Amino acid sequence: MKKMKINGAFLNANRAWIFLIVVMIIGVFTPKFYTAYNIKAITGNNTLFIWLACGFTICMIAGNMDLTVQYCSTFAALICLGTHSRQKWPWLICILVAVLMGVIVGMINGLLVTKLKISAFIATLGMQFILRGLMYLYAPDEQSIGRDMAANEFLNDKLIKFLPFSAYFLICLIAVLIVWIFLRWTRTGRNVYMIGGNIETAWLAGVKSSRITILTFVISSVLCALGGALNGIFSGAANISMGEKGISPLMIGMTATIIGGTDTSGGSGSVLNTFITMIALAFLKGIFKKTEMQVLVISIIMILCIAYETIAAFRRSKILGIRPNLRNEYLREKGKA
Amino acid sequence: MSDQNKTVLSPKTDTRKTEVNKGILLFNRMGIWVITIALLILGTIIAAANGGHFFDKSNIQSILEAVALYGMVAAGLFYVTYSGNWTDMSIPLTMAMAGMLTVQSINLGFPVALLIGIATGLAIGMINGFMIGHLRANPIIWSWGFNLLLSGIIRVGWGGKQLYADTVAKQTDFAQHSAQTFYSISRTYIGGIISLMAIVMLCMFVLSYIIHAKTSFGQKLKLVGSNYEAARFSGINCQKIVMMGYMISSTFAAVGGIFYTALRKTASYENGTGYDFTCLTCVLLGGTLLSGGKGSVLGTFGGVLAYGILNNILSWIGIGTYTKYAVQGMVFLLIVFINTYTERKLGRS
Amino acid sequence: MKRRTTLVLTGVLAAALTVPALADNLEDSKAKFEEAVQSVMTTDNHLMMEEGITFDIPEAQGTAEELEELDDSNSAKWHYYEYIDWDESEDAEFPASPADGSIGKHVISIVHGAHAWTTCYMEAFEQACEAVGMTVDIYDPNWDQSVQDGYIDQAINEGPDAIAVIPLSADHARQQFKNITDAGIPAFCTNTTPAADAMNYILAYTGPNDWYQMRNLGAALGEKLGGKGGVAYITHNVGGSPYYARLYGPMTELADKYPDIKTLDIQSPGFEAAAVKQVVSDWITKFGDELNAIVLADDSDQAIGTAEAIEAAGRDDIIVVAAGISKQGAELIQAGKLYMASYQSCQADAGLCVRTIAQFFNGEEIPRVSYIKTDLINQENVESFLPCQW
Repeated sequence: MKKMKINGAFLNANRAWIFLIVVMIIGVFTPKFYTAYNIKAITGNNTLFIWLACGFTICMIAGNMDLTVQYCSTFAALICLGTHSRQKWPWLICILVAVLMGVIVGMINGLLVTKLKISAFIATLGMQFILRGLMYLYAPDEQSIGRDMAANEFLNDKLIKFLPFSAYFLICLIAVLIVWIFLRWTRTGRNVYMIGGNIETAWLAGVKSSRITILTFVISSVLCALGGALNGIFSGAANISMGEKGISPLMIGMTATIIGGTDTSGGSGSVLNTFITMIALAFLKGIFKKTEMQVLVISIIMILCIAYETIAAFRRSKILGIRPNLRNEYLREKGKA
Repeated sequence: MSDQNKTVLSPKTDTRKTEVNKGILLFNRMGIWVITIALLILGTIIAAANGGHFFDKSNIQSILEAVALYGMVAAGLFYVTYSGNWTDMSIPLTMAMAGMLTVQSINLGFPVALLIGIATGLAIGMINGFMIGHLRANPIIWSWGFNLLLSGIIRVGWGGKQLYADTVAKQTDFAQHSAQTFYSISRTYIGGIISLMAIVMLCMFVLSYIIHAKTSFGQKLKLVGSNYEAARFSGINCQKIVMMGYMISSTFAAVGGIFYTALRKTASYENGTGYDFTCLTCVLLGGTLLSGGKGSVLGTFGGVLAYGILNNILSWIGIGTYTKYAVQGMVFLLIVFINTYTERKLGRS
Repeated sequence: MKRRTTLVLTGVLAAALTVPALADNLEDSKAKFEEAVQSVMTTDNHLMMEEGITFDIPEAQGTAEELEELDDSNSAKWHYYEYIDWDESEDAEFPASPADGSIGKHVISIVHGAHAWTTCYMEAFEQACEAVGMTVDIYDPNWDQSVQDGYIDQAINEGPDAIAVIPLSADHARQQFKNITDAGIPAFCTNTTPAADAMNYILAYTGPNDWYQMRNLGAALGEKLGGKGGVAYITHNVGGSPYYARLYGPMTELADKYPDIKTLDIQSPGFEAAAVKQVVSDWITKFGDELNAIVLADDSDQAIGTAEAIEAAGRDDIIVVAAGISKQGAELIQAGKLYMASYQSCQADAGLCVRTIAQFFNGEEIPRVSYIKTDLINQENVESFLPCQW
């Protein structure tokens, strides 16, 4: 009985990995699934969502929601390809301009939340509309920008042909690792978890909570902007209405964050888990080819995760609410204190 | 006693402001109606500058009809925001699902189909209310996830198809007649002037107002919304109250969804897209606090009107559809900021 | 899964049977093709797999950059939007036709997204494929560019005999079709017009001639208006090929033939009836009697919203024309609320694509660009187009 309990907690803590393994086992029974071409295609096509999911995760660890991720990345892609084709700037400058846009969006988000005390959900919701309007102002009658195929052909066909991953995916992997190390091993990174757990205690403990909150929004927006800009370059076009119909990339990012085990009220979670979940979701999409089935399967997994966490929290709070000391005694008896 | 303490212990005088800024108080009390009147004046000027009449019969009609569907949903969504649960993200698919099931059951006759549609909303509200009110799930995450699940169910269940009431209906007079009745509800004009949709919206606001202001449920909800723990310790069954809030919200959304489907003549999973954010904008414009416990149905009605008037003015100026997004976003942020700011200045938050 | 096993089975059977009797399969395919062309009907009783229309592209009046300088209402400006005018000398090397018959071939079709039109298209595609003995898998990327890219990669991975795509973005089409052609799979583009340079990687394009039918619609509208009045436009999704065709097609036609007709406003409220209704109501208030006609890019939701607004304002005199044709549109025409709509057969669109693919497998010469037949529908002839396809 005791072992089962620990086992359950262990399973829950590592559910991202378990999800990935299960999906990979199902993949064995899917014809033509483990081909180099397919793996490359699946990971490459879902890389944009990995960027968004990781940005969303960071904000959620800090206890906020960032709804701008999707429009931020689309806008960045438009700016990146737009400046390249209209102003003829070199790619590096275009990417920098797009990232700068991300920094500005993140700053505005952060300032709205910390200085004007608007809750993150509402602030980023408003920003989402503003970004959407700006996007159409920037590209008024074009569905997509970008006709320069040279860079795109070079990047996709010539660069690292021997690996079953695209260069875009590898860049994303590096970025995720950097963010993971930052969150796990640096003082500032740990502070992000602190303000997510309890912003007032963190403030009392001397953490500059406003600054950290702004920082998380900036990191999130920069990740999305960089991801969007690179996606634009690698796929050769930036589409203005990306994700406005069907399943929105924001939704996929949120799903990956939640299945990956990030606490919905902040304070715990890991970018790496989100990354693993995102890979699993990408594989899942490769297995269930029809969009309808994808939506159903992904949403069922997500709902189960939310329901599990809700019920667990409910039972915890029930015990806590009645007699907190009894629960402590109970835990001590079980040897889990 | 206190005088003594003051003279002995604290020679310094208290420099904190105690009097309340009149403007802030006025705004906090009147809120949306100040904005609505300002928008009305602005609209009159702009319309006059463009050589038209803002208070023209057709323009007023156009504003009322444009907001009728938003109004129906916002009148219910108000309860979710008011109960301190921010917003119900499952509104789009509640609307879609209600429309789908209404059309699917049109063979049973129009009244039965209508009831089934409304019952759909009630059921979705119960599930949401149970998870959020009873088990205390994160309201946004849960309702958003549930929205995705409903979307998946509709997509798989109906294979991504669109449903037309007159093709679903059997080739009998009764079924065809009920299909035509269904289509006509969004196209009926009472006395040739005001549409049935606008009337239904007004009725729903009146109903909502009565529930909020005249029942004990409304009073309890206020306490639950402003302080959940205090409400619990004063013996209120918070779980039940929040659940009822969600049930009202989803039911109203279902009615909105049925009218939307009738207007569009097709039921599909994409009905209701965007209603979640638009209706939240209306509710917040109406001065309802996101943290709950403050706001009124009358304010929400003002918010809905203000949203309609704002859109109308933007069309008068000749702003394109997409620029409207940016303007709406800025107005939205400004209003929310003013709301939270005045609330803080009055020391209530 | 089931379909795949049947596919494998048919593949094995075909291999076992057709190697000695390769010519037989070709003969059978040709016979089956002829029968299909004669017998398969659309739901509104027209031939589904009729031969398409081809024509020579007129000379452009300058390069693309020069034409961009011209006024919006000048028809010369839109040359490169209207015609798929590409440089054939840069064509990629296309996979050669196996010329062993269409029976037993597997096709993957990737559409653009869920819609009533799409459902109708998909059913017609399956029906037509079955009629010529091909199997088909259809993927629906839900209007998402990146999802469509993903499906194209998946389709390539599965290695079918041909891939047909409705590209979501004209500009991005080149990249998508390049991937398919590079993988050695015949690539067919259908319905939406790709950017001209994408044709270098497309074996054949089939679809509706949106410009032509919208110009006809514009001409009919100008005649009805008697050469004067004010016209307002509601557009398709900004930036797509239907956006240009359905906005500038009628606009340039009116400007050419009836210079007294004014363009009042252009709005893109999308496809929500309520939003369109609001836009039209605002127009009626703003322009009053100056507004005489409205051109719509869609005859379902947009037409419903417009009709509602006109009815509410009591302005029966406003003439509404739309690109069509849907069930809602036909009803509105019958009720006299929509003056005219263009006839763009959804099922013939799918039929023409399947026809072209089948001809390719049968080793016949196929036109690189062909269009489906079109017509104009008004209250008098609407009966012959019923019941509507979608």
